[in-house]
Amino acid sequence: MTEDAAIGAVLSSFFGLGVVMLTLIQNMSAGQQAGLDHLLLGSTAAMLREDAQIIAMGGALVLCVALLLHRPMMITAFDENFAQSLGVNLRFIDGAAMALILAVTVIGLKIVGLILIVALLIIPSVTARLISNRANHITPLAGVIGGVSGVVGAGISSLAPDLPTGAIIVLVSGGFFLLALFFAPARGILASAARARTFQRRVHRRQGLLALAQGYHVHEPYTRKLLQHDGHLRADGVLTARGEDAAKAALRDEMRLAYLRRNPDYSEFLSRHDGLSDLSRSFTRDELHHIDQAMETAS
Amino acid sequence: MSGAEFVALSLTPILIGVFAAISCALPGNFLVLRKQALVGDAISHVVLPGIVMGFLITRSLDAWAMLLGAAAAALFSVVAIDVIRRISRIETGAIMGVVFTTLFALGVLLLEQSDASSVHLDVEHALMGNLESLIWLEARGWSSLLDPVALAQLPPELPRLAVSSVLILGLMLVFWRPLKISTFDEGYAESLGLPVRAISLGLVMVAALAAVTAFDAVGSIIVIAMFICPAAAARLMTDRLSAQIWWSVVFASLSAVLGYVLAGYGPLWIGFDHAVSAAGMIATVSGLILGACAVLDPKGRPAWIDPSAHRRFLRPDSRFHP
Repeated sequence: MTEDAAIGAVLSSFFGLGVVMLTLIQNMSAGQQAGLDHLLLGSTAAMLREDAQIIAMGGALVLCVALLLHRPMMITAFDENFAQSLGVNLRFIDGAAMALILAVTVIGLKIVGLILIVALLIIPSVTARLISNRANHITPLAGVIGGVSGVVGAGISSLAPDLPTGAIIVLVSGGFFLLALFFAPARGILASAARARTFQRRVHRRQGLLALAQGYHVHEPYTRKLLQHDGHLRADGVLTARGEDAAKAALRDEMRLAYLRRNPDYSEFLSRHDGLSDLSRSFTRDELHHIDQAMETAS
Repeated sequence: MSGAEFVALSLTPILIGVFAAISCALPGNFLVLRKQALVGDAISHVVLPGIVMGFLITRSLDAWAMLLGAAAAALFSVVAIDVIRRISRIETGAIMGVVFTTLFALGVLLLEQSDASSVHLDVEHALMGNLESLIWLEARGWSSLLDPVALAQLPPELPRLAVSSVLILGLMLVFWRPLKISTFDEGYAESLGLPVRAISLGLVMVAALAAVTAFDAVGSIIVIAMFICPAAAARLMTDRLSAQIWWSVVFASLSAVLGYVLAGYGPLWIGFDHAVSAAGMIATVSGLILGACAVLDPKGRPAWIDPSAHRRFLRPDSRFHP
């Protein structure tokens, strides 16, 4: 069976069993037990001083264990085989991670509720993952996002009588996720759009120069605008002196690329190049010289 | 117990449970095979804000308003998960977790803020349903099944779930081939020109339909359990898709009937006074069936359970003839 099916099956049937036992208890002691929705949503308003102390101590303990096991956990997360070759006990690390999650859930269940725990296990980490690609940054960043969500959410929920604290905290962290989705430096929507636009410009410039170098006219307005802006093209569609040079260089690069692509010996060499930028950015001068000589002898 | 009492008090909840279980188990087969088992979990969480929105917009507890709201919320979450996955290139499971917990929290907030919680809408009901209360008071015995006046008083959930399970079965039969091909080999399906993404989205929408119609009557515990447990147990019984589907229908019906009877009469047999939650017991039974299948491992057992196991044994390229 696949892992997700197993998770879902265990989750739902044990949840069902829990509900059965809950109704059994409720019937036995004539409805004195807290309802199911308290376990789901928590009862933050009814939190006592002792509860807060237990949560603080439990949280600190979990944090210490997480810091101690930080390195083996990180290595295991990225490459299990490598971790094993270093002598990391994989079953111990898996078990420890599970135990930490279990500890957080049990500590927080009564006060903050199941939904908030599940949400706060996932949302801050995914948000941090959006913002950074470095594992060393993601973990503390996720912690900060979770903490700030908690403070801000609890603050907002105290402003009005009917705001459920757990739900507000989840929504605040969901808001951070949305912000990151738009504004994250590499994976965000804005960054992706900017990257796509830069790429589009480069393609237009390159294709325009190639067309001009081969004696064609460029009629496409966007390409003309870009080339004029670079000072490569006059308003009447004729190349400037600088434009002549750039077009020649583009054509020469294109011929070199064509030669490299025809020749299977160079396939690994060619993989260094993205197919679009100046060849001098991907290859050294000696390498280019070698290519030019090889082309001459070939012709 | 007399026939009259049984028909009035137990027959309709059992039938509703069976139809709910079957309509969730059918799409569940494909979700499990596509490694999307948790989609059912996500959908059943997202249904809550949809139902509350449906109530807030129409100000009525009309079933259709809630069904539409829930279906809209399910569609929204599926599209949101897909869009975010494409933009952020983060694992689907993580994004699913973000989307469904946030939407569920939104549902809870809306519920607490509105006056919806004063009417028949609360989190407990959303989880456990009200299977026990779907009784048929007009029934006077088995003869009522032929009496149009009494039949008109059936709980509306029963015809609704019957229609939705027939609809789901029909859709599955109509789209059987493309569904099967794209489930087992997406690349091959694409090369045949099948609209792979549309099939995938359609499957999730059918799952949402099943979740939404079943949710109102039986709560989200049964919905989640029935998406996964019967299909996973059926997967352990056979390697053939059609046989797997029939097994899952059998397991789903068995869980519903057995679970309801155990919850209703089980505690009385062992000396307790009150029945326990039928929804919880049905989910528990489905988990037990899955556990039994996993332990007994019927594949490779006698051919009467699965003829294909026999054939596999006789094939020259099987592991017994390396």
